Amino acid sequence: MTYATFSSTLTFPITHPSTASTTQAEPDWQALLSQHPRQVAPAVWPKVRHGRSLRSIIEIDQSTVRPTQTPHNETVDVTPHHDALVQELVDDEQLAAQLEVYAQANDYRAFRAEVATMHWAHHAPATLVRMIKLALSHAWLTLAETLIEQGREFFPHDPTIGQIARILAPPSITVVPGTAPQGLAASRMWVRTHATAYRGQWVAVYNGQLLGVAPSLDALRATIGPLEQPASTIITHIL
Amino acid sequence: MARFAKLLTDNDFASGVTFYEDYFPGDEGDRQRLVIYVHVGATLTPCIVDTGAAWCVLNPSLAQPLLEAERADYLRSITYEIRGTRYEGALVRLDLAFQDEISGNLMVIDATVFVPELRHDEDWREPNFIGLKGCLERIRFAIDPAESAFYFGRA
Repeated sequence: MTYATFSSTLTFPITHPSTASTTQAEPDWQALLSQHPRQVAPAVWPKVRHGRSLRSIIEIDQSTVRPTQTPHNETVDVTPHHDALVQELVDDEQLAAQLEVYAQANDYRAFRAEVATMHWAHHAPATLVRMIKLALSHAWLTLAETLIEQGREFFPHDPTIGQIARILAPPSITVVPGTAPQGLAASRMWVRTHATAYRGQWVAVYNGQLLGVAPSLDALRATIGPLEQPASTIITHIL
Repeated sequence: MARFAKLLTDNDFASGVTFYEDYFPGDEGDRQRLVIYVHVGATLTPCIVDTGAAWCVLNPSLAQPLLEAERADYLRSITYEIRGTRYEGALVRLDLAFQDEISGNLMVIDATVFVPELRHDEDWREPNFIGLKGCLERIRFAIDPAESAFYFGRA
């Protein structure tokens, strides 16, 4: 008999949230496994939160899913549960595709409404990252922040979500001492007066004097060399 | 110059002042803007202040040295619409600095900016922008049109 690794990846004993009290009552395995997958999913969230999406659990264990055995050596058939769960994942994948359509249409309301129904425990972190990027790309910033928070909750060890959270974190500000810039007003005046003569070029201006002109920033730096007063030298691309 | 500097700094509203121009160098059309000079790494360069813009936007040539020096973390495959055109690029976390023209002190902000990714045959022909998210959202600022003064401080 082949025992399912599907069950061994879950945290035993499974306790449904409604029974997850201080009592140590044995779960009703058959009843639990016959539930709709969305109802079972909260029981596996702790596992998901420790770095594996439900999708990855299912995909890895799909070939050895039936029958399975509980820790109490009861053999149960999880096929209906598994198949239903796979269908859930397919449905959610379609939902993710639909979200992309809404984003393409710039339909914020539809996107926000659908994303609210997403059950992130059923998805790989990459799916959530995709949705965050869509929200960011449309400047739906509050929604993006909400998704990032959910990402940190469901996938706290995912490096990409961690990276996104760092990049989107509120900025910090420090004040450091410096020296007053020299001739900046004169340099601004030079740019204001002469810019149109250098369209498409990069220019460097210090103390009201043109230091150099070049078609690229790299070429400009090569032309002018190290700056004596970088904090007082305007460097700009003329549109 | 900067007649409100003492008032605003003594009362902890602002930590510095710089002076703005009303157009970005070479920008075509009759577009009056509020353009301040900001340090991107070691480069002092003009940026349009745009409180209606979600993100800051930088010319990729300005951000490239910071990326190469690994002084900037980034998230690629982001798109952003600038002046009616949607560009693909990255959100980059890097330091911008506003310099007080009186004392020289720098207010450094680790901002999140959009940097377009261009093909080799593409030129970038849009201005730099200082936007709300990841930058202005944490800055207290005020302008005095009488002197083209831009006062700034940590919110």
